[in-house]
Amino acid sequence: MTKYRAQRRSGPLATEATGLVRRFGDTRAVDGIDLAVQAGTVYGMLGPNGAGKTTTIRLLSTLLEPDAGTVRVLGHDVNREADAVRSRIALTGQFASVDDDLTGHENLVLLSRLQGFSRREARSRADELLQAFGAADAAGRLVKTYSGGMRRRLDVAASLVVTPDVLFLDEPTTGLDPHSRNEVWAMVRSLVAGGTTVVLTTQYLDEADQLADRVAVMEHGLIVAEGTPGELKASVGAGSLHLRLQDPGQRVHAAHVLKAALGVDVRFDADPSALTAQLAEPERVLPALATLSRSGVPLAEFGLGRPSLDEVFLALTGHGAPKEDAA
Amino acid sequence: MTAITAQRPPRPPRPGALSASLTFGWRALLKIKHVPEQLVDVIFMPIIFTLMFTYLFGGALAGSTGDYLHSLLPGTLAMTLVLVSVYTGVGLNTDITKGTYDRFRSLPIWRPAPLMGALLGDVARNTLAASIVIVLGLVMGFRPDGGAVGVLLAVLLLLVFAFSLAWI
Repeated sequence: MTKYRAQRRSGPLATEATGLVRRFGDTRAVDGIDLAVQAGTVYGMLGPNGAGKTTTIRLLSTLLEPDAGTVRVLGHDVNREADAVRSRIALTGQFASVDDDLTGHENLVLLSRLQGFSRREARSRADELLQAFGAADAAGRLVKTYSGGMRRRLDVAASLVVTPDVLFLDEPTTGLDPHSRNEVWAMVRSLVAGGTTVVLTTQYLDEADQLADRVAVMEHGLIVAEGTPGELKASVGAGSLHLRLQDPGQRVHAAHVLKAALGVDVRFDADPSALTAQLAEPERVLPALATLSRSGVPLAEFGLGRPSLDEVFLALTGHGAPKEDAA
Repeated sequence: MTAITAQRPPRPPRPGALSASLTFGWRALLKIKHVPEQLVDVIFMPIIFTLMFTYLFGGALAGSTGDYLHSLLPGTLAMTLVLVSVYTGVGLNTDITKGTYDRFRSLPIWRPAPLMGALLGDVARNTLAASIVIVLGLVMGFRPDGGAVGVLLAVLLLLVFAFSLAWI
């Protein structure tokens, strides 16, 4: 009853999942997820590789059927009314889904035709999109000659042949340079301004921070935390202090001094001369550094960082971001 | 960019099964145009097989090369077409691993359309391969009993055969 009232108050839901489970063999890739995405917002799913982000996106966008639970997109059940859902969403997968052996223009014409445009409409739509994404001069080149950023932009453009009501983006900026990343972000923002709901996954806290209205942090197929980026960051603390010593042998001593001066735990990094401290009160950093230097520990470098994904994980789950499997 | 997203073109009606299949067929043909290397097998394998079996082994097998050609040529034809249909599988596999297929699957189209399109591309390749084998055979002295109509019907039968095989 409470839930019902909450939904009524906050407007229509673009995507809603309850008790979503998907197994692959013995692995529970998605292990009971509840999601509610408000229409016209950006919803970010943040997590390391293997957390279940891609599986979740595939479940939400009709590509996979859940083992348990339901998904409703714009009020349609994704399993029973898959076609109704498909005609209102678009998906840009983790790996560029454009065809390498075709030119950029041909790729867009193909997808326009598949959306139901006539031959001539499809051609003019492809021209428009290429123009809009600043790729008009590369229109006639095979996609395999494109750079990573261009390919990604074409991929996103391919999702906009018909402006979707809900756009699913799976790691849209992984592997892009900062410039291309900004361009993809600008595209997402202008889409949302036009009323589209965007559900995206990312490995970068920064990206979730920049784009998302709400963020779900995922790990092992579960949502371990959910909230606005501000709420999540507040749960992590004010940031962290990174130190590198000139002499790795002094690390234990330095950690001791810092712990006393800052009043927080100090972690050893993988780098044998580096330390990280989660800050509760940033204003205690300067006196702590002074104490450290008085105690005869020369520093190679130091910096104050915003919370990284690893630190979000540390704060939310009590341990670091799980390492990727060697395989 | 802002303009393109703001104008929101009306969504056209969803394409029919035939139109979607033909669009995928167009894609298959474009791939042949852009990656002509894939035709090398289609062109040379039948030529080499026909020549090799006729002149190397044909004499010993059937008494004379001319006689052997009669039983060999239809066989080569069938084999070539089966081999060509392997391309459908390879192409489809590439689509699935690269994620292209995921996008197709998220479109409001008739489900088997991507498959149908690939098969239509096959038909084009098969027709090419079959005509090469037959022309070569004719040059080498193959005189089909069924005449021109018989040959055409045979090729048609083979295309249907390869189409059904590739479907699997």
